Amino acid sequence: MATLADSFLADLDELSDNEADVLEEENNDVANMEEDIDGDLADIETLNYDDLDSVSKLQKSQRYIDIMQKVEDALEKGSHISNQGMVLEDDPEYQLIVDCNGLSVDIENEIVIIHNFIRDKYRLKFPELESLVHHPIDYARVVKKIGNEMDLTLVDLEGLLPSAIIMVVSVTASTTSGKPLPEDVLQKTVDACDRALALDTAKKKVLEFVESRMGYIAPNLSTIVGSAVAAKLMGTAGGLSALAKMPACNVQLLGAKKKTLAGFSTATSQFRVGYIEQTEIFQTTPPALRSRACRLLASKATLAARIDSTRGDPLGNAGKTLKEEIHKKIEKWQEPPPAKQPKPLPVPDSEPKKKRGGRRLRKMKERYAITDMRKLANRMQFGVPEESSLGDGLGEGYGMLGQAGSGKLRVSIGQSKLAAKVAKKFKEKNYGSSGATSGLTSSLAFTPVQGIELTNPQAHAHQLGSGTQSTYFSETGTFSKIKRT
Amino acid sequence: MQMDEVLASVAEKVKNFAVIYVVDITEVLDFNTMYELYDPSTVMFFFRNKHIMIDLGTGNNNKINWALKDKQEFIDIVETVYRGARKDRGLVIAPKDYSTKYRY
Repeated sequence: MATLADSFLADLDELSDNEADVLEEENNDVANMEEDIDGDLADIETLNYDDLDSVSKLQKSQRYIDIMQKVEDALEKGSHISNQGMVLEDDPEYQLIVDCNGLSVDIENEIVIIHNFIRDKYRLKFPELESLVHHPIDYARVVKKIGNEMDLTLVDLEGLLPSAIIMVVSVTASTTSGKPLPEDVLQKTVDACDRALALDTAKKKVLEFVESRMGYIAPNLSTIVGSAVAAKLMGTAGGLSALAKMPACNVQLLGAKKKTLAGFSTATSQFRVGYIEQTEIFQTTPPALRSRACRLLASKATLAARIDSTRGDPLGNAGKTLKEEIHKKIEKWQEPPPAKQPKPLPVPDSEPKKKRGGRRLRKMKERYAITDMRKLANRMQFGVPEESSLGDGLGEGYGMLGQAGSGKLRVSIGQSKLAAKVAKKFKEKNYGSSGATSGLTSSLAFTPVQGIELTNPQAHAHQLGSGTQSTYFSETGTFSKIKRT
Repeated sequence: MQMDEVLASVAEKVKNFAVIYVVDITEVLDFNTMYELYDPSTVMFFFRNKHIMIDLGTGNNNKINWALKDKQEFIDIVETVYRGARKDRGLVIAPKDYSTKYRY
């Protein structure tokens, strides 16, 4: 036992040592994890990073620098047209354009990351700003302009934002729960804003370059939507083949802006349209037809992009025909409807009446069909005078009714379907209902076994309330219990 | 004049089964005694060279010798005459009764 106690004590000692070790290890692990996270561009969960460079690495990357250099050179050189004969993929310029597309997507992602960084830092100062200004570049500009200022009347936001938003921002700033930032944090934030703006200008340059080459890359697409929009579409999609693979409904929404509500109603909010909105064809259609035109443009643009991605028509003729089609369709929509002409009446009785058949009609006709009784009354026996209601040939004749030799022993009226329904309805009514008894109900029933039978109204009610009998197929059962909710 | 207007406006609508002719009885006098045409306006119906009579309730089944105001009424009469005449009926019954026409 002493050895047991000793062993326990020894265990405890070990534990404490282990704890110390484990703690140290954990600290190391955490430090490693943080470094890993900081190193990972896509991970934005840790809020403790202080260094912008650890988050945004694109601007320092070699690839970025190379491509930007090439783009600047190419922009200065101007376009050269002598590449008709060359296969597209071999052309170094084409490769550059493909790279540019990828780069523009990367730049966009980078801007989002930097935007998150700025937002997290600036949250201490002005938390509501991120919900008022959605666009990352606008946000960066506003943050740079405001800086550490607490009073927004001293800050001039003209030109950065629409006036309505400026108003909302000023009002919110006056009641904000934020505090001024410390100097170093402010400096970091402003650096991040600068970097975001620099990336934005880089993206614009890339787009400009792609646009200038657009006539060569995608002639059909540029014929339809114009080279600027074509460049933007390609940039957002991430390449011509990526654009070609998208369905037309997605192409329509490329570049669509998110709506900033700021308390304004959505009753006048426009339909969702992206870069297509900037095309010349869209701008020249009357507003009533704009949504249809947008859909048409997107679908034809997608077709053109598909032709271009396979280099099916390098001269751009398909694009021209598509554009013609679009113009024709839009004009046709604008035509007034044809004038109404008075139609002469059709010839009477020329079209035979459409007779219906089927079970339903047969059942309906059965209700008015001629009964056996009436059939017999309509016929007469040869040489035998018929009986009549007033006797002596006056009044209604009875025909073969009641005469010997008519072939029928007993002629019944036969309960018609109408009477059956009515009988069922009256059966459902309670005989003991206070005051509202129908005049046709009878409490007496003539049965073969017992003669006259008196129905017990309580038994009837009891039947429904017992719950043992199913009320689905009961002729008289209705709701067994109706609860007031 | 009123009857003329009604006839003119109805002509297009019934052109698939009826054709309307306007005859000036002061110029074409040949049929005045045969059909007793002396009213300001008289409308008579013929189908395949047979004169069709209409029971209007006025006592005179041969013609309509007053001005009908309602276009739809007139179209109904024309349609009834056409239906009956196609079934070889010499006399058809007008959908509306005009025996009270003179009681205002």
